Amino acid sequence: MESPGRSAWRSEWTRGLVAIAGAARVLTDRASLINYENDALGFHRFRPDCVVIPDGSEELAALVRYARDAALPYTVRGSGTGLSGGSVAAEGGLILHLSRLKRILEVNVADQYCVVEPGVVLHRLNEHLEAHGLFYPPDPSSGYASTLGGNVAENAGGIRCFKYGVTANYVLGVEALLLDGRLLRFGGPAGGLGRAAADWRALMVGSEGMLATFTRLWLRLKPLPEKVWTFLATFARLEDAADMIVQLVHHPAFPVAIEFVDNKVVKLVEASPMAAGLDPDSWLLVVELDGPEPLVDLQARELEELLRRGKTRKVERTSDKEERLKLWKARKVAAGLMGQVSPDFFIQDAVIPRSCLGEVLRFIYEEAEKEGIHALNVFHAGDGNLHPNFLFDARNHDETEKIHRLGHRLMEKVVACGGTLSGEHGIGNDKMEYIGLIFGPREIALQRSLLDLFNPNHQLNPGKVFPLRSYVGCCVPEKP
Amino acid sequence: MSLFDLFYDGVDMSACVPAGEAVGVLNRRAAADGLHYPLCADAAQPVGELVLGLPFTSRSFRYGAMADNVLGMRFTLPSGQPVDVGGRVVKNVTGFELTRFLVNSGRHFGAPERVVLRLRPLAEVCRVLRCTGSFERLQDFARAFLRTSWVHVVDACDACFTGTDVAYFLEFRANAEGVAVFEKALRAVADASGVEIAPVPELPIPPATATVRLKTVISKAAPAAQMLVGRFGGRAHLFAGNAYLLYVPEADAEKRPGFLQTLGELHNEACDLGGHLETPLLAPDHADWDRRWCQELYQKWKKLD
Ligand SMILES: Cc1cc2nc3c(=O)[nH]c(=O)nc-3n(C[C@H](O)[C@H](O)[C@H](O)COP(=O)(O)OP(=O)(O)OC[C@H]3O[C@@H](n4cnc5c(N)ncnc54)[C@H](O)[C@@H]3O)c2cc1C
Repeated sequence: MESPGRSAWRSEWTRGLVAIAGAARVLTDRASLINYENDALGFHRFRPDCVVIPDGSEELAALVRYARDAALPYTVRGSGTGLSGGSVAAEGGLILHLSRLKRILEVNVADQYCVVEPGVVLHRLNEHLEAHGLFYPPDPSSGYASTLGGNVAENAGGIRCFKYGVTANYVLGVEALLLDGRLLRFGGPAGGLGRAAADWRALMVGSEGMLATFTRLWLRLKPLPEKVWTFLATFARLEDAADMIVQLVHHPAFPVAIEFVDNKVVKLVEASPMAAGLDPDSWLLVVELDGPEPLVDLQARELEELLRRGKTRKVERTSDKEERLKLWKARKVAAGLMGQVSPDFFIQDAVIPRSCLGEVLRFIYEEAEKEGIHALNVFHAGDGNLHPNFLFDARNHDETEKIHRLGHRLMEKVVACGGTLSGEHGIGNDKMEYIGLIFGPREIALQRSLLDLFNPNHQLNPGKVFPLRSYVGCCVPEKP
Repeated sequence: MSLFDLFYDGVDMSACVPAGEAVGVLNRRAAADGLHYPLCADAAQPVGELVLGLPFTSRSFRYGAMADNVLGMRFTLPSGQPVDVGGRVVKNVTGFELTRFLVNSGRHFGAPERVVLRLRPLAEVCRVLRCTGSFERLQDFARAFLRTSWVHVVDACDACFTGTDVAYFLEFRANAEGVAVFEKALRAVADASGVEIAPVPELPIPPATATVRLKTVISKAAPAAQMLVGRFGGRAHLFAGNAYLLYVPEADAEKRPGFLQTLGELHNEACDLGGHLETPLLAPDHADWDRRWCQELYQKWKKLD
């Protein structure tokens, strides 16, 4: 039950927001707000006081200025597919949902870039680019839903990043609305510094909605590759698959993707209606190669030889579009199936040196077994970017505790191996507690000095990434 | 173990080296494992200078900007204290992207002490092709080439402008069979554009003494190089795919009528496109917000102990 103080406070500023955006796009009813309590991580729920869906960047600017003056904490949301609890209102206040800022403003074929609003969904962009013979390479698996604004804010990665790199490699410019209401452009089509001595654009990428709100993005594009080969190799033992990953990573042909699927996932897939005809007790690598046709045809033969020389059970390859999808099937259906066999699953994200892959995977299985939790692994092996999935029931407090313990031990192990807390999902509020494992006090002070410049009172996306980031200027009568 | 202990990891393809060590030392060691740090033109250059020097080099065409290839740094702040940014793994979104920020702007804030570099596999055979013809034909050729799938696998695509001569240079590495396929395909693109191609031993070395550095968009970069060299002499080296131009004017160029004004115009055009022109010949005209933020950060970092 809300206190009268909070209720009066809320209705006062709601009137102001309605005056800017109109009642239809200012959501305050419980049923609507519940949808914004969490992101795709599924837990760490916080109900916002209000959600506004601005109709364009001018309206967004007016809303940001209003929020600032009314001392409302606010958080920007793309599609809410984040997996670190980044786009939730950890201290209540306002969520600005940018789904209507979805125009593709320009595709420049000669200079190989495009200009988009932040609410454009990644796959829509690539569909649009196909007619121009171009594509935008970073490919988070959530591309059918996630927005480019969210991708830039999280510095998203994906399957193709082994060859093509992550989002940061493709952001030429960012137009951003600052907390003080100014609209600035960092970089632009040329991808340089503009009238600046420092690369502020670099800081915007991966800033998890804490430094500014992006209103426009300039993204680098590449010509579509002429030909793509997909390989599927199965192994009897984890160690054999791990050895092969290292050999593939060292191959000068530079595969686009090197993806790993463990034998538990293969078993799950083969026992489901989505069965892909694999030996259920095998470990899987899916590898892709792209480029100019005569060259990749040659390299495909070399790669096949390499795979066959390893301790593989079976190697298949194809360049046929439909057949390639079949080789990808087990990898692509895995997440959906995990959701079906368990009430909840917790997907972790960490990166380790590839020399430690076998050791860390063994550690995950052993630790999970000790806790009686199922751990399944599907991940971007070429980058050493682990994604262990822990199956559990969030209604069971005991299991939630186990997941938490497992997460903690995994992060300690990852850091001990020279790895890092996140490769693509970000820290959000989910991994905030681990930040001290990677940064010492001086490093934290260094990182926080950027917040002092852009978001000194933490009004923008409070309660994320660094502990004790609470909005200090807040007039909220009591924090939720 | 600290992440920034010096190390060389041939399996994971990364190395943490002292900023004062010549990049050639690392590359000699890496070559034994079939690896290299590709973004280097001068083997004698110290790693710290290399990473804070130019944002792009010839092989940025394939491997990306310098900032894409620096995984982490131990950096000495204005306070004299060392601070660690980034790490040693190839993907890292823990905290703000300070590695990239410092690689691209670190000169204003301090100096690297140790640098973690990402190494890449080194193919056996290297082929460099020199492409010559009229400027217009070379432009047609470059436009056609940049639309092909070869951009995904070619290491470098540079253009050199001297006097009235222009030449493009493409570098590609693979095994012998792959290189033959490359040469055949490139000949077809060259023939269609009326451009001559011939193998040469290596890529030309970009000038270390360029006093003008222009970052712009692809379509404006080669015409800018042609115009500068044509009107004011000197020579220019263009990293074509990255639209980054190094220009070495003649000794007394700034006394030539229209020279500084032309640089000013190029600077304004580049800035409007989100690029920039850096030169000691023009006073910097950074935005007020940039100057204030740089100053504030510098002051804060001076006090960090
Ligand atoms: C099934 C599934 C698969 C996934 N696969 C991948 C993957 O392969 N690789 C990967 O990297 N991630 C993956 N993710 C995670 C997620 O999709 C990405 O983090 C994505 O970038 C989030 O985009 P979004 O639009 O949903 O952002 P949200 O979740 O809405 O927001 C994420 C963060 O971005 C900030 N933000 C959003 N828009 C803006 C803006 N305009 N200005 C400033 N800040 C903004 C938010 O405040 C928040 O901090 C996956 C998620 C799911 C559910």
